[in-house]
Amino acid sequence: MEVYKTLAEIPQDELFTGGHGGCRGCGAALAVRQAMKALGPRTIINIPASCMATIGGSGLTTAWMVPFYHSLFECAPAVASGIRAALDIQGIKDVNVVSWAGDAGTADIGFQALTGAAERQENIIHVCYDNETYMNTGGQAGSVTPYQAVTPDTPTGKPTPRKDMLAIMAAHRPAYLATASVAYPLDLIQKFQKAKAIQGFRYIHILAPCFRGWGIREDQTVQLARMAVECGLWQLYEEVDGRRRVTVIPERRIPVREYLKLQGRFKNIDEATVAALQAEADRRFREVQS
Amino acid sequence: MAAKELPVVPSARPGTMAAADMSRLREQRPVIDMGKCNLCRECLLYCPDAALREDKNEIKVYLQFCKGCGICALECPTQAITMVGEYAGNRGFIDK
Repeated sequence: MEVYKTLAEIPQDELFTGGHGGCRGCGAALAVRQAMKALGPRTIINIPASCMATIGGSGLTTAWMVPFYHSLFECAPAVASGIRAALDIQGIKDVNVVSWAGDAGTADIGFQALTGAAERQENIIHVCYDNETYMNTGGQAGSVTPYQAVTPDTPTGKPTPRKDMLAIMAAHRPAYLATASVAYPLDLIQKFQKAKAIQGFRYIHILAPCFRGWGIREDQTVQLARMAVECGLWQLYEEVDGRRRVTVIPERRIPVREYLKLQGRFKNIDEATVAALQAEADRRFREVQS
Repeated sequence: MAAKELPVVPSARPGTMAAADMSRLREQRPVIDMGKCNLCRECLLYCPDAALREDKNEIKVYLQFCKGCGICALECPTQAITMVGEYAGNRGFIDK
């Protein structure tokens, strides 16, 4: 399996062009741009309701250079399964079918279609670009919003912890499962290249910060995505046949507090929570070293 | 067109949004000092708007796409990119 080893090898062709409708410093558009470098032109993208469905255009103009289908919120993986079945009947083999959903289209509203497609071992790639809130409708809290994050409908901080979506998806025993971050583009692109070469159900979860939802400056999108990895709250790994391999061990480590204090949404976080998150990050780093 | 040539969005030709001009959204623009640039190409992949391209060992800014977020300037490992304000004089007036 050949993967790109350096940034210089990555093609400059854009399959998701500039001029799209994303905000300044949009993490979601950045994730798509990076992923399309690996997926290539023989790809069908299927997106449920999310920011990404509107960023790429609708109606008379589009930023996509590949077929793009906007499905309903609940059913992106089910529609992707259908697209794959239609291609199979026509004997078309060399096309990647991707359902690209936000965290709501993956973990909450789209979950029943996702778990169904994973259980049937559909030959599709499901991508979750995770900005940890419902940004398309104004930033409401969802099940993967972190504990004590301030959102419009949890003004004093979310009262419950984040759902561990990766553990849930790992329990489906997918052919390939990976986490990625927009701050590590080479790692992200390599993971898409590996996923593309594997048959069966593949799941990739990308941390793609949203400056509005996180209460950061618009130029800090990539910085925060990197700090999440450096502090240990977001680990970059891949799982093939249930065996986990950590792909990026950050060059420097930072305390969890440094990552949290830059974000306006954690203004109410208490010391006990910071200490608990730090303990969890330390445990993950110890596991990697052992 | 054969069925194997995949159709794109039925109502829109591929990449039609690339004709849009994002200059109206921009408050600042990146200026690259090629003397400091070491061509690591990180900025090319950190730009959400595909506004930076490498051409003959030089990084070029496509201002038509640039929204002026400043990610490239913040992430550049050699600090070769600076953001320069689009406004001159009274705030709200574009000097063109």
